[in-house]
Amino acid sequence: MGKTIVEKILSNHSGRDVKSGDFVVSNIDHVMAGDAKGPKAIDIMNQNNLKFNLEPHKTDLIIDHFVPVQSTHWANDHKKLRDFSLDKGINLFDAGSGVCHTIVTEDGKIVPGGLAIGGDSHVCTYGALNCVAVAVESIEIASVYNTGKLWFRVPETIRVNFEGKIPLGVYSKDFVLFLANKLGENGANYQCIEYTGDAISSLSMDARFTISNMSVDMGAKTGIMESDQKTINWMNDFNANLNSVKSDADAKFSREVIIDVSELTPLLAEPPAVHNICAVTDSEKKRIDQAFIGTCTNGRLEDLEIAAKILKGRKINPRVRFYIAPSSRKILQNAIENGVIKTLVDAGATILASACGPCASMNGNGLLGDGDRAISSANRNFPGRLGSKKSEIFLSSPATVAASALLGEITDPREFLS
Amino acid sequence: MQRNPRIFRFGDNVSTDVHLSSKYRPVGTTLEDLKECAFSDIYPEFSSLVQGGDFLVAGKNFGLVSSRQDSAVVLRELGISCVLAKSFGHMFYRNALNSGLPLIICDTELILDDELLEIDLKKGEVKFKNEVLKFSPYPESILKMIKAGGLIPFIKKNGSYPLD
Repeated sequence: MGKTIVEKILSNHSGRDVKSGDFVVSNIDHVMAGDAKGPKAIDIMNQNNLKFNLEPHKTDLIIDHFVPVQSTHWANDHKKLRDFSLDKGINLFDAGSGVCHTIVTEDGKIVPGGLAIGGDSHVCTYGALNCVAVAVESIEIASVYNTGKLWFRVPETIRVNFEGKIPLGVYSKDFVLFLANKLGENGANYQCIEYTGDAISSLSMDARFTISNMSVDMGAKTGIMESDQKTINWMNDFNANLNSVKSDADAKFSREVIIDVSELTPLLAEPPAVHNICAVTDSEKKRIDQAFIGTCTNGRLEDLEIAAKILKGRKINPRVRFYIAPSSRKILQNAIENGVIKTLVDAGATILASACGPCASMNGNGLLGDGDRAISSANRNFPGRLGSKKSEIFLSSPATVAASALLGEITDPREFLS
Repeated sequence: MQRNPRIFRFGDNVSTDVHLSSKYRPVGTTLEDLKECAFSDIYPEFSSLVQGGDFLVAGKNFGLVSSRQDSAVVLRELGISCVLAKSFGHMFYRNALNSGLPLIICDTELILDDELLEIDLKKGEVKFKNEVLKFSPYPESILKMIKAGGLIPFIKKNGSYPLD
């Protein structure tokens, strides 16, 4: 019986031939510890006298959720990460470097065929680089710092084939929102989603990360793509050892889904859940108060360029608070150099720090008041995620966010793209 | 007063936001504070009624959504001996085993609220009255981890962990 990508990668990292449902202990290639879970992992190590035995280059510490920090509690946690970084010789991406998943994938440490863990739900973003990445808690980070290994239950795989020509105004965010609706709430629970098909091949790496990123929002443990020439080009800057992994022709999938993207239109996830999808045209003209482009889902260079294309020479509705958080400093620099930032600021956008910003807003940035309605390029829209439980969050592609900011109401981006 | 272990029943899709509703809780909240708010939105009496050895029996996707270690630790600290559900959120599944809280995946509709459950994690059996429900048993190493009280006590005791 053939194997899926995730079965092969977990087999390769455990020295055993494993299949879905098996428990394994695997060697970990990379550990991402951010300011939400990292400080507690350090506390756990100290409380239990666990030694740090991992090779320092296999981990990165990141300050992104609480930036610029707004309480002394988190400021002290940041200090704890900086001290740990100096003490153990671990690289630290400090405040303003970017959002964890964006900078780790930009940094060349995530490689095809690899196995990574990270202290944040959306670590599955790495899947676009053919790496199995699993979200973990502080105690698991502490245990891997000590042993270099972690146990897993090998997940089953749902294979999703995106086929067809991508219509104007439809982006990878629309692909994944459509899929979230098709699979239903937690339709991929405890499974891996493998994304394939000619529509995936035609996407840029920036656009692919949006899809792998949202695997967790369908309940999946991780998401993965095969590597191709675009993956190799992405990795070429890092002299990385490429070990790309494909599913066998006779691999067993728990479910296979085919989606014809040529039939898609711009979509929205309406509150209160990510799988609650409608066409933008069905929700048009709803007033919005805040618009946000950023996050590990949709804050990359291509996302900012799409927004700039729509907003060039135009002014947003003055009633709208329009925030943009480029997902890393490198993206910010590129967007300054190619004029995108000027276009966005001229249109009325406010540029925030390269950090998580008003996504979960654990730091209190850009909160919503009672009755406020936001449109966001982020990945979650539970009531109260961004302040008031009486506010609403609509999720969409950056193009739909930009068009909506322009008119101050939910707007189909296609009228600005032809 | 100690009574026989009882079953607390929950439905489908009980998220970790419901386990502990004060998601963005103030800094300095202790485990004792958290114990009091377990399921407070949907079952306000829960934390005062629960006793050591009790069971939670739920539908599908118990503990879905967020990666919150606390939501599993609180149940263990309240003395829950085991959670049985049709399926679990994947992060809760890891967090529970890593906290030494055993989980069982089985058809929980067959279990009535007044059953006295007897559980054998090694054999993969839930026994009650004349019924025996089978579940996929854990490998030895995971059982040892649960018995040790979770991942950290386990690696402290064993140094590392080979898998059988």
